[in-house]
Amino acid sequence: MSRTSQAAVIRRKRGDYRQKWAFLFCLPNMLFFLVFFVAPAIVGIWYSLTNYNGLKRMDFIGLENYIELFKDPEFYKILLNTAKFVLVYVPLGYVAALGMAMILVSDTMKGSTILRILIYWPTLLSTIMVGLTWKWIFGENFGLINYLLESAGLPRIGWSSNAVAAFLTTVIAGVWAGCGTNMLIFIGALKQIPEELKDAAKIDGANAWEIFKAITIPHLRPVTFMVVMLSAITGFKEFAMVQTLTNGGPGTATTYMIQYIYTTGFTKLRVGYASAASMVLFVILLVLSFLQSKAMDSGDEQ
Amino acid sequence: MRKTKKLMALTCAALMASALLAGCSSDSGSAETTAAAAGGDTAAAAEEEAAPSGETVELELLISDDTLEGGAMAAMVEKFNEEFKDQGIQVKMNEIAYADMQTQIQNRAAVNELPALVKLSNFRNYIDYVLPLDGSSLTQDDFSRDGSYDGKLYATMVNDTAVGLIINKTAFDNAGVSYPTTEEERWTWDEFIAALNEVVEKNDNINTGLVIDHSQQRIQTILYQFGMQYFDPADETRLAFRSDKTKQGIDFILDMYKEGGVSKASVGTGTENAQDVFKTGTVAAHLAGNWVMNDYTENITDFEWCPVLMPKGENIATCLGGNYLYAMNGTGVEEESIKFLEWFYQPENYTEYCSIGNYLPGMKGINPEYTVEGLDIFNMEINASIDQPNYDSTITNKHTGENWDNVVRDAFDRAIGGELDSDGVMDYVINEQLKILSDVHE
Amino acid sequence: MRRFLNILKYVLAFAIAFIWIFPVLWLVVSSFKGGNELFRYPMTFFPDEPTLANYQEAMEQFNFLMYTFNTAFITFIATIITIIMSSMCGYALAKYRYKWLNVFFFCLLATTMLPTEVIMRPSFMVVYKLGLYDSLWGCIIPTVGTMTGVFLMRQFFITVPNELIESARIDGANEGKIFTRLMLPICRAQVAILAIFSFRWRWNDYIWPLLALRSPEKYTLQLALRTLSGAEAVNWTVLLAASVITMIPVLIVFIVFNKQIMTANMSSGVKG
Repeated sequence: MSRTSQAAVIRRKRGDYRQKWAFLFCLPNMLFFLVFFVAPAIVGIWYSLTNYNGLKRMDFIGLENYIELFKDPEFYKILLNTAKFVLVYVPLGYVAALGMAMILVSDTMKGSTILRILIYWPTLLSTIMVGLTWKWIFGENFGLINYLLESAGLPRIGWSSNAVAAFLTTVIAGVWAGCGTNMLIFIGALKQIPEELKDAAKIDGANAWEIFKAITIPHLRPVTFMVVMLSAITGFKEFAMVQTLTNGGPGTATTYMIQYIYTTGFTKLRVGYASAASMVLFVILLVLSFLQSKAMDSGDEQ
Repeated sequence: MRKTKKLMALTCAALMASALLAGCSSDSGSAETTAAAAGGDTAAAAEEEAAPSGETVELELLISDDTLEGGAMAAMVEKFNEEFKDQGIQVKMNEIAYADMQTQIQNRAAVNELPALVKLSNFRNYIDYVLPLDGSSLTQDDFSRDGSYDGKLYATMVNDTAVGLIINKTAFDNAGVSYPTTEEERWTWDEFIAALNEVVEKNDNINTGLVIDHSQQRIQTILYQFGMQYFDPADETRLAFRSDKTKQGIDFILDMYKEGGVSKASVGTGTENAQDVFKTGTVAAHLAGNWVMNDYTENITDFEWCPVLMPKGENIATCLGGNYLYAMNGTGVEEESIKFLEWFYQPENYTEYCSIGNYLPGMKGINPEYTVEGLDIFNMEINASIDQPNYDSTITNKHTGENWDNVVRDAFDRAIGGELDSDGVMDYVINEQLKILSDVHE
Repeated sequence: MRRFLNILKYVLAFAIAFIWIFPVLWLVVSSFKGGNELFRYPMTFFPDEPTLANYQEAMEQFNFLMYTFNTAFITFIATIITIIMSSMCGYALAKYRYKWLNVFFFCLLATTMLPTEVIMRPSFMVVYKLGLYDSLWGCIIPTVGTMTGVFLMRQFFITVPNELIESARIDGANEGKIFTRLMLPICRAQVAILAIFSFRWRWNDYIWPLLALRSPEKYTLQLALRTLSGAEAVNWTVLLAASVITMIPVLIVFIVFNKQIMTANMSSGVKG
């Protein structure tokens, strides 16, 4: 055996050995993936091909549910609503969380712990409580903002009868409820940027904005990828909070995908139909995340 | 470092333990569940049933809202358990959220672990699992609302709820506007709107004439008063929702939500809860269900309120809703479950139940003593109402399996939001009915 | 000038925080209002007659001790398992380069895309078939393979320089040792973050307890809390008080782990 091929064998062996470790590290999650995701998903796909009502009736009806779904004009409207929500919610949430993290990351700032607790606190409310809390603020007849406006002699805002205003309330409440989580992730990431880098840049005469652009943003890349993707997915799945806050109204102006699935499917005992709608949502999200991670990868290679 | 290792070991142990558990049964057997083990479960109870007498049979009663409504069922269960201590039957209440009832029943039905007894507003969805009561002393004739299917009694009407009108008495008195308390004095809808406008005008703090709960039962009541029908009285299979009278009713309701109407769109679409808004004291009247009386009695101190008779249209009508109490089939404790139902509906016990919870009795010939005043108005509404609502719900009961309970409400959500007109509402409702109900036509 | 800017920063930060937290404050303060005051109009921030009756009623109505015990058990165990699994998997996904790992990562990502709400029934069947039904483990096991946790750890490990691992390999350390001895200590901040998240998820979770439990003795706080919103009525006063009570433990956990985040410093680990 020649020397080079011997080296190759050793390398391969080492590779096998490392691969084994990699596999071992992932094994528990793989099992969970199979048992708690793949298995239910397969059952879900099966349901989507039947007229299952959640109880005894379950007949195979082929693609009928999907056909009905794609024929429903409301489905497209809701999809558009959801997309609009995500497009506003994700960037706004990102900026808010990063901004808070930048302010609160420094240890030297007195009271930063208290501030962090305050910002994080809303994430502790259950989604339903978030909806209720904001109802008190954005209520049309019985809300704080309208009360203050009225006291100041200004006209009330139709938070729940004006489609745009209602949309805004869902975005604000959504950002508010999710911001603490992302802020914490950003703080963790910001802490990892070596101070020396910034100091060096400062010595070179860089101003705060330049440091932010040249050092902070590139260092936050991996975390940004995660935050954007998770927020987008959360946005697409927004449900309980919005249902409590606006009940999807006025009309269907703030009805998003999961609420649609819920009200057209589960509450009417049409589990088959609801499953079909879920699968469609799943595929949409899958394609979007695939595109996002591709975009991220090509960015990495540059 | 060591900590991490310890953690790892702990987790491995935990994982293995759970794997073991997965291999065994659902009884976790760990220390924290001793209380649970003592509580037992229905499966165990089912086995005990076969065992020689002398052992206690436990009946699980799945229920929601009891604590919220004053704990009437809890009191009755306690009484029952005291009386049946020696006969080996004990009832155990399992109170969960109303929103979770459907999930819990469906899941438990799928794996054959149903509770012995259920109290819920709906039984027809689960008819395949409900125990017919033809072997008991209870009959359909005992009850005010239909709980039968295929000629057999399945579910007993444990409490009625009726739609009625509650007014801000302080505001009405202040404006010098009178309100009806006898049949002869009933408003027409136009008179009612005029009265509301007068009250709003003459009170500075009142800015809304009428709030209506975000509920199909409430909307339906108005539509019935305008002459709406869901099913043709002469032909059970014909959907009769599309009619000039229905359209007139829909337009009338939608007008209330328009700019300058007596109500507010934010309440009509359910974004704001009518009950909460009424409590602010800025509203003249609330078209509500009788259960708000408990809440109002307890939580309104800033103004006086009272229930009055609803306006009339072509008809006088109210819609009955409420909860059924029924036993499940295949639990192995059917006999004992029936015993509980029979005991519960003995006039003495049942009167006590209705009195504690301020419930309108679902059983005929019961006269509870209420701690809340004014509930008799709702009984007047029930007695004066046309029969069409009952007819429609009887037919609906025959269509099991799918649920169109909120279709009209959903249509109004869209209409109030400006997405549908009255014809659109009728189209929407009829389409949904055709989609959901089998063997019907227009 | 610098000082002025600093003060400005403070004022700004506290102003934002105040507006931010105001809805929660409203909630907390309202929990001391009586039922007759809660919906009074014109609105007032502070209660006219502050009362503890709501808290008293909440305590009487709920077996808080039992629910808290169940919830704490689920939360504690699930959080520990989550941290271990997520850091292992996240490390592998970040530091090994095999094709199947990329595929697996994407598969994991997919799990977040089917909301639990819409696959409740199939998930319930899985829990049942595994024999986890009506056991607290049924609320723990299905949740620990969380994608967000893995994602969090992966994105952190990506920023750890590869040279660190390579030099350990040259020193002859095996892969397991590198992970436990070298990698885990430097991800303390991330573990703390994950602990905070996991604690909150499990503490506030109601879907899995709803699916997995059916005996009242095993119910969690969130399940109990939900019973306060009925078909037609909501017991506002008790709901507010009970919500405030259930928030406290999570806040404490946040404060404890917040220290870990702030004192952790990766650069020292990297260079050390």
